[in-house]
Amino acid sequence: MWKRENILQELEQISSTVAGISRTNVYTTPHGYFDQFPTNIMRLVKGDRELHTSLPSKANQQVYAVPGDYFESLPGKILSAIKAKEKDTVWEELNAVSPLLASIPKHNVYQVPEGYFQTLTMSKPRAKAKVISFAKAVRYSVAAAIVSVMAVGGYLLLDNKSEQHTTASEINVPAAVQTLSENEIESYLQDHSTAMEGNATPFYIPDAGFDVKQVIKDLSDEELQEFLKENPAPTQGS
Amino acid sequence: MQLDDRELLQQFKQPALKDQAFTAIVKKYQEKLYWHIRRIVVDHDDANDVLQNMFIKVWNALENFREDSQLYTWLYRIATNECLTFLEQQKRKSAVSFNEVETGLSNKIKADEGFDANRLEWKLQLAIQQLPDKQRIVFNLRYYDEMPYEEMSRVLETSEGALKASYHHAAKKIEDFILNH
Repeated sequence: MWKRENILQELEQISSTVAGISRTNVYTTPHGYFDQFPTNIMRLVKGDRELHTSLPSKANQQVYAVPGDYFESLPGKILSAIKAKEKDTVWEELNAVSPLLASIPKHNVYQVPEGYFQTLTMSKPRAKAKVISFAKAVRYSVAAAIVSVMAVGGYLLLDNKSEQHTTASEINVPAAVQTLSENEIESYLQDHSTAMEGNATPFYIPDAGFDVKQVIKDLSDEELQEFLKENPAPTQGS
Repeated sequence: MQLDDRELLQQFKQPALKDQAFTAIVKKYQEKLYWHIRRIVVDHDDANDVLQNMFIKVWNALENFREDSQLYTWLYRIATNECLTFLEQQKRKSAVSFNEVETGLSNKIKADEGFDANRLEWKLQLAIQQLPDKQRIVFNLRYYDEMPYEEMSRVLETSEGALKASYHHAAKKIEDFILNH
């Protein structure tokens, strides 16, 4: 081992108090501990080596065992633990904000009819909405406006003359529009063309959000012609 | 007659003499290493666990031991690292701070059947447990094992200057503790 150094002399220079304390060993060991230790450690290392040499030849063969349903129940246990943690977090947060609220039991006070969820069925999906061209939509809107104006006008005219009158809300506007001919609508638009002229824009046309030129660049001339035929541009006053 | 380390290592490499050589190494160093460990972990059962783990590691690694360092230096290094690992595990297991681990070690000293609060030797043990891990190990290696700084430098892989400073600080802290308790 190493050459003995004068430890006490060195310590005396640092602290005479500490150097003055006896270096007696105050700890004890069980009787015969050091006599038995070499045998014990040999047994341990031999056991360790025997364990290594008795390992199955196939490296991937599992030597450990787990309880029968360990892997089946593991996902559920993990989820429960996560949920419990989340629940605790939510409760802790609420408790910090309002201890009063946190103290109120979170029981559901609402009820549903018995068997509601068992008998709950999905409602029939809605039919696909009919696509109406913009020009047609303008016409229908204008027609609806005409009928509304007529109805309000009629109401104002007849209001003082008749106790039995029909309110605007009682008029079935779509049905009334259906009774109007194209000529009647066009005639009305000609008489009330100012609304469609100049900078006055009766309808808000949202920004398409894309470059029209870019979109139609791949369309053939035939396709464009066909589209324009089906969707003629509204002429002034129509 | 006790064989020197070089001869024991040669024997360990021969299958027929391996067990015998290892037993001789254990017998030769067990007490010094035990007390080195015991002064760090305090409790006998803990010291026994650490010592056993340490020798199992030695058994597995001794065949590849390079003789460019002394066997006892290597053994002390493994023992010290095992102690530090043990203390780290204790901290993690109980999720307590370093100070609480120190308090735990002090409580273990007080729980020792031979503990006598009036004896300076026991007070010294309490004072040593107040030190940070590294300072405690340096103080023990110097004060009890009388290890030269040069050897200690190989065991702890720290410069001799740093070790001398650590020992100085440790002795001063111990003095303060003894004078104030």
